[in-house]
Amino acid sequence: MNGATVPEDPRVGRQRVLATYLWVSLGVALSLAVLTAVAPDAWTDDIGPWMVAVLILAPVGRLVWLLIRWTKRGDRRYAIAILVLLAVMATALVVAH
Amino acid sequence: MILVPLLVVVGVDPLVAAPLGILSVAAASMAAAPGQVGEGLVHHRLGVTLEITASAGAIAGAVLADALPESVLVRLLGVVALAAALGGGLRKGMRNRPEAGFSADVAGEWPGTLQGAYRLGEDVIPYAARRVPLGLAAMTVAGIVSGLAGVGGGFIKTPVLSELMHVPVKVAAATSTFTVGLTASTALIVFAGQGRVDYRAGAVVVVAAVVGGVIGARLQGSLAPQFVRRWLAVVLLVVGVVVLVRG
Repeated sequence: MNGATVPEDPRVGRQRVLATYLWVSLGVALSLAVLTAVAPDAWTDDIGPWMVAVLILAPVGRLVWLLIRWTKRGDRRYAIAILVLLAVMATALVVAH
Repeated sequence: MILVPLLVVVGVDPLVAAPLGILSVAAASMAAAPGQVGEGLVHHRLGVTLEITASAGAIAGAVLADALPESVLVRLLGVVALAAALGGGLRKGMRNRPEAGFSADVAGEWPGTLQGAYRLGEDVIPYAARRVPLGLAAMTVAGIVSGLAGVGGGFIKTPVLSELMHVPVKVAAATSTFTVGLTASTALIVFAGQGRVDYRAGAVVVVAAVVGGVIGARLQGSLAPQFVRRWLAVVLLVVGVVVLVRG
């Protein structure tokens, strides 16, 4: 059976709120991208960084949502994995500067 | 995967093309995410575990890209395009099979494990990720390539998940889409910090990637995956050869 064993309550893995968050993030990123593409040159450098920030922060927000959810449900091993991943991503900030 | 080699073919500096490629990866990953999460295809625990080494590799790659000569980056892009063509062209079919004892209730990732199940029509197909240490090592390589070349690395990650770790292709594709978004996010932090992002061109790329991602997700249902993979492999093969010949 493919090496898989069924857990007690597999339904706790479903993520409707996360899907809604992702739709909203996508809408915001797309709106900022359209604005950056059509705005006058003087505004591009003001709006562009916000577009990039949304593209960077949306996946981070997804991780934070998963971190809170898994911590609440006692899935500590993978909550710690998220913390390690966030630390690696924070290292990129240090490297970038 | 194809944007950066194409930009290099038309004469764009690889150092400028790489951030644009990463922007397109981040946007395309974002466009695909809501649908894939809604269908329960993404295995977040597996993705997070593997992404630790991939993101570390992406940081190393992005820093190295700044230090390497342009000719080396161009050659690397050519090799990456050829490797992607090969990976897409040779990908296999279905390994995990439906299990009669599993109901639709168990579809999705299973808490506390690197196991899960997904629905394929009326059937439920359980799976379990294998060879995790090897997968972590392969993801480091995928991350380095992403940071160096400005590509998503999905052409490495999806085969690693499906062929090496025995994750079903549909779950592997959705999980690697999640992880390439994170790798792109990490590489983008470095590129933005280095002042290498052209916002106007980047915005056009993001709009195109989102629109393309949404259309692609719709087309996915009507076009056979093998058909799409083979045509993409042909395009990448041509681009890879042109990049290598010109470089």
